[in-house]
Amino acid sequence: MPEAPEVAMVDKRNNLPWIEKYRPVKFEEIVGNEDTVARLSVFSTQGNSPNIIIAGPPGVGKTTTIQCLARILLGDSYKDAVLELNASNERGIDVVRNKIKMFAQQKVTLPRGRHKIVILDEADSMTEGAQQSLRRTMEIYSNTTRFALACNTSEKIIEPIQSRCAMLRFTKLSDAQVLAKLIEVCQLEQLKYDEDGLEAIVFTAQGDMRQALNNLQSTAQGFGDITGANVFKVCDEPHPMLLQDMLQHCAANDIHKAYKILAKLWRLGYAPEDIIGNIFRVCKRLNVDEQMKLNFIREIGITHMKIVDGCNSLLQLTSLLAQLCMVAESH
Amino acid sequence: MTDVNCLTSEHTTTTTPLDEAAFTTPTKNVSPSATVATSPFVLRAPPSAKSKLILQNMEEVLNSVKQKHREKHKRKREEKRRAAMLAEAEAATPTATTVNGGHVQPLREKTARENGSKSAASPLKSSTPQTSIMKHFCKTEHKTKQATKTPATNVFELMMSARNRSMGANSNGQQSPEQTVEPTTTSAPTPQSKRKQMLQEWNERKGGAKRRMADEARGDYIELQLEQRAKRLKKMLTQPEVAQSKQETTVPNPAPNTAPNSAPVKRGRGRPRTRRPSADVESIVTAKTDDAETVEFLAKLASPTKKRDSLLGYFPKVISPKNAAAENTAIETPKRRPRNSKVLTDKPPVQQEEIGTTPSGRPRRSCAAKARYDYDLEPSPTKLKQTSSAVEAEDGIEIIDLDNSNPAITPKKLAPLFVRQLPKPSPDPTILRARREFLQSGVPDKIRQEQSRQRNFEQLYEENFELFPRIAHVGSEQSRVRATKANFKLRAEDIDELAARKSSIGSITSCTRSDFAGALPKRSLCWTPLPVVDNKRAMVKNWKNLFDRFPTFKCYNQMREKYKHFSAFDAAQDTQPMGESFVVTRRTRRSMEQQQKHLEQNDEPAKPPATAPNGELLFTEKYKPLLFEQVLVNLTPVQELRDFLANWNGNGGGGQRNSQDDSLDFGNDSSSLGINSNTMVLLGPCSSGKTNAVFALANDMNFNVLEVNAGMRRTGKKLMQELQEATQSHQIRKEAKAGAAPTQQLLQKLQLNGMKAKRQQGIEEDVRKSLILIEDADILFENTDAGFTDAIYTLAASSKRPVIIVATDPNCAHLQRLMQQNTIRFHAPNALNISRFLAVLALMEDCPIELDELISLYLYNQQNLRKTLMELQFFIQSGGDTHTTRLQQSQQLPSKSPSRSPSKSARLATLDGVHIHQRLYEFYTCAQNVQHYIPFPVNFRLLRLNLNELMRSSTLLQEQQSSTGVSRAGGKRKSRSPKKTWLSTATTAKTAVSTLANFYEHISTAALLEQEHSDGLQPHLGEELAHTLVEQAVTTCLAAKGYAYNLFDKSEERVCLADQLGSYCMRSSSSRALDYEPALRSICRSEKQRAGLERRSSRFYHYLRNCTVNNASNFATDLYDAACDVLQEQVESSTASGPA
Repeated sequence: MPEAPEVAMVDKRNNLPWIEKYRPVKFEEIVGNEDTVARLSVFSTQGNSPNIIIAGPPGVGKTTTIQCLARILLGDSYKDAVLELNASNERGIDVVRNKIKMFAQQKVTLPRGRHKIVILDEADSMTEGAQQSLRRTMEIYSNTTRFALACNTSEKIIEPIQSRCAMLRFTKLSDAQVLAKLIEVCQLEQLKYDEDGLEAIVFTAQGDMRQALNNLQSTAQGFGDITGANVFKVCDEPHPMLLQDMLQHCAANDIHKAYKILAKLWRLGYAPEDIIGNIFRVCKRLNVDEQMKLNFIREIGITHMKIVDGCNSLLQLTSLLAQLCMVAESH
Repeated sequence: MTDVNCLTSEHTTTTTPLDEAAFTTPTKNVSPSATVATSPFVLRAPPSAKSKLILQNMEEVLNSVKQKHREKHKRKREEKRRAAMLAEAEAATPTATTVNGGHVQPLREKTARENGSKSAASPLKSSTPQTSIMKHFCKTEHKTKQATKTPATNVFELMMSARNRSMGANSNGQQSPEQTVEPTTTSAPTPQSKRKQMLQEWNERKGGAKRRMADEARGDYIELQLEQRAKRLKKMLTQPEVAQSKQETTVPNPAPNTAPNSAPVKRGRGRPRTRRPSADVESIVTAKTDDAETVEFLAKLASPTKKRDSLLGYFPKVISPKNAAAENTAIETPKRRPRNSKVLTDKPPVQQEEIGTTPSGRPRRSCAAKARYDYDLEPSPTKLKQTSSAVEAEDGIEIIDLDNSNPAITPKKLAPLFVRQLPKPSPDPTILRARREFLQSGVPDKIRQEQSRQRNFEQLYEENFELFPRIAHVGSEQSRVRATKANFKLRAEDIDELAARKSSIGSITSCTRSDFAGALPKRSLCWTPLPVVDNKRAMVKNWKNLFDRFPTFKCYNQMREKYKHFSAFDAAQDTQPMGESFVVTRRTRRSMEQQQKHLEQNDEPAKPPATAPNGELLFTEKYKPLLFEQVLVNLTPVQELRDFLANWNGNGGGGQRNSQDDSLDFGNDSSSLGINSNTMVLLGPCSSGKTNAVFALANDMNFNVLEVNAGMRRTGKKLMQELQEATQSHQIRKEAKAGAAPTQQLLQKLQLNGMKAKRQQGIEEDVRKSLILIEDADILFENTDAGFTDAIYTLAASSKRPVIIVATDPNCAHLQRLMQQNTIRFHAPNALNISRFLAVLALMEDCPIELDELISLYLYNQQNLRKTLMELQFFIQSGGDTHTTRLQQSQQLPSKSPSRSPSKSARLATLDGVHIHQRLYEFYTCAQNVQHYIPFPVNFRLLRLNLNELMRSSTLLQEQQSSTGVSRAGGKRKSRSPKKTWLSTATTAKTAVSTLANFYEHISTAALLEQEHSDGLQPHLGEELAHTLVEQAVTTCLAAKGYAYNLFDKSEERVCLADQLGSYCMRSSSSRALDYEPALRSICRSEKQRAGLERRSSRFYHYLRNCTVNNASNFATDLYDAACDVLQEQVESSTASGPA
């Protein structure tokens, strides 16, 4: 196995954002999507990786995985044998026809079974024309060059390109995975944290590791300790505990108390979209009867639809509370 | 004249100071001549008041300064001039004869140039003796007269002449000397008396010419303008003779005078195109009566509509320079005549002199430049120099002096059009050296120091300052930050009292207590290579029965060969590491393959090299057919293509090919579709093997493929250039060889020994014929690939080689005409055959995979073989399912496709010890890193298909039904029992119904939520809600367990136009039902029909696009085409069922 670049925790790295500082450089460090990552790690040692598309929501390590693969696969010749283009680079038809093709034609001496890699990050932002002009290039030079694409939605990638790649789907990280990484970072940074704070960060991150680390760093540098209160000062969201209380009141068919909380949140100036989103997320974990929870979610969904349609007044949220209370009453 | 020149230059360069000086310096300068000169000028000022004023001022100034300078330099000048004359006179005699020859024009041009040179030369000759002056007195007199006369020529005159010249009216310019006579005489000293005489004579001549012209003009004035012009041209052609005759009568010495007179007239002839006849005529008419009046008229008539005048309009405010320049030009005009006379005589010596004397930087004046000269008047320094030099006052000294004395120049911007570039002065060698030294020297110390300091600073900054400093402001202490933080009221603090209660673990997230205990256990990424399957042949033999009609052994043998070949290939490569630069050409590959076939008859499997256990190639490359025999699926279209190509293959080898070893027998009915056309369109979905078929056949039939794909620049021009050339040249070469003996010999030889290998080698010696392959022809980039379509059509019309066009879209507008001629349609290969093919392939790769998995994955990928191969490679080469954690298997998601694959599909027979891998499909569909049962963005069509299965597996429904005691197998959907029982048990079944109703309500709400389209760039709450709702509903309402979720669905079944258009395009459901849908349907139908007939069928294109503008970012007709297909099918079925 070619040695991975050393995780040099030099002083320089102190200045980096934590998402860069703790960006994994080995496959073992990549959190989540274990199955696919493990398979990719096989290719990093065995070589001859097919063209791949990694699709998934932001912050789950798509780019990191690809970079890991390329780095381990190519080792020292990374600079010569990797062409990385992301959305900030120009990737029009001309670039594909000239730059990428030139790179594919280029001769780089590599060990056996290794190929040059073209990394197209955020490939779904490429224009259709550029993708079309890429399709045959991918095939013709497949003996020397492999492509690794990362995108959020695979639908935006035209079928001919998808047809030339193995599709790998990454999903959101589970809360436990995010939490594990957070604890690791906290220990490395010697932060004072409590479970409440970490859980709050996990809640706000919603399975997005990048956001979790950013929030952690913001909290740590803004307030020092990682506590729930501090986290919610940084990530200003409708407080899940408040919402939980509110839903519990609804489940107990007590609309007055529930409305009090809602009015408070409204007075604080939260957007109805944020409130409804957090209500939903809290409701998913609410400790009530499953049937009732299902009905709750349905009502929340209907209200969400109204809000998205533009009826985002306090009235709609209040009607949600009333509906929830009715559901609770019928049970 | 020089005075004026100097003045003009002076004036133009420094307008204001000179003006002031002129105004302040009082009486002395205002000589009577000056006043005389001013008066007409004021009268004849051009119409605009502003310019009038300016001109007036300028006139005064000019006159005053003129006087001054005249007094100063007259003597000196005279002497110089005489010296010049002397020199000229010596050369006068030979040239004088040529003057009368009649070709005046070239001479005049020369003289014009010579004038300048001569004047420049004159100062040097100041030392020449006085006798020479006396000798050529008439000439010098003439010259001096003019020189003295010119100061007196008023500014207005100069200007007018310039103007007239600009209009092309040269005749008026000639009038000017008439007025100047008196001032010159007064001012000139006694030696100029003779000159005065000359001037008078000359003036008479002038007047005569003018009169004549006026008469002619009177006649012309009645006629049309064009006729006038023509007439005048004629008359002017006749004019010089008259003028000459007059001159001869009046002037004592005709030789010098004829030339000047004829020259200007001729010059006028060259011009009259640009002038306006009417103005000319009027001016001429009035000019006869009084000079002042004529000029006035001229001034009035000098309308700005003139073409040339409009150019002057570029400089509306810079009238004074214009004036000055006009002076120059005006001076030029009179000067030219005498000058001609002189220069004609004494040209050669002066020229020589000029070369020596003129400053090197000064540009020589050419005739063309002179013609444009009037409009170059601008006060920019270079211009000034040019004007002065162009005018070439008799002595250049004055000009130079003035130029030097007036270095302060008001910088005026001039359009680059009018700036004439001065040749750069030859740089000083010292400067050059210094410059070179500067360029060669490195970074100066100062800059280097600066840079190093900056670097130090940056380094210091990086070292000392954090990227995200805890303290943002200098001087703010840690404690103070804390203090302010307390005061700073954050919003969240409002709710602190409420949220003070700590959330219990897991209340808001899915984290558990154990998660906090420690980090996740490290996964072991150990990888064990797949165990080599030894007895592949036996397994294949086992499968043979299962794979009925599939050429199992053929497939197996082929693959084994390829596998061995590439393994051996890799192993061979291993000894001599050549890196990736080694590119396998098809020919070498094939020949190697052939060799190996002969060499390695033994059954020992070749092992891949240790360093690259996965090989180097993609499966798609590794196992693609290289010969026609190796094509296992999609035989029919490939056969068609081969027949087409066989006509283009010189030896017709394709037709004779035996197809004995193809177990899928196909009739050898070689249709003659390709004979009369050279173009073939291959249509088919993605990865149906179009391109591969072409390459395999080309390889087999010995074609050279010229490929054009979307990855190249393919403008029409480029395409034509490259391909046309290639085809023609190849064609020629081929034809040259075709008649030759070797080919026939070869054929005979081939027939003699039917061994394929030899034959191929024999063919390889032959010239490979070309074949043009245009890939992705339906993709058209309008802006970058202009003319691509036309090039294709031209190519199809003209090429002598077969052109194969590959396209995906069958409704591609710009290929319709070609498609009507010859089309081979490819279809996605049959799933069953492919699965068997894939199974053998997987076995070859030591990783036998269950047939069901392969079928499912293939279908899930929408019958995309290439993608399936890619994913298969990814799966196999990353170790199959052996190394994966068994976590997901515990969830037990038997993901089979009950609808498609045979429900009791026979498991692949295995031999003992061989593990058949299974989790391929699961990996790529639902279980790849996903925790959900139902794939995340809920596809409600899929859900609808799966409802049966869900309800069958629903424990809740079963319980309820069992509680009713009625033997009912499933829910409402699959009510096998007669309706009666359902009705009878209605009361008892109520719970089941309510459960179902509840379930459906949730589902419908979820479907409603799902409708919001998101860009997918961020997780959308609506999608999430819908998914949760569905999943929860399935689990709680139905309590379904262990259900299989079918993930593929025949796409044709679900095309519905209204769905595709999106609900919000339609105003209401009723309008949709009544208005849009039928209309769109009929449009689609008609468009589809039209598309078959015409090349362009975009009549309703915009309408359709507007309909879909909301949900389809790129308008693709396939939506409607699919809809059309459905509709047509419906129509067909209805018509079919109708008669029945």
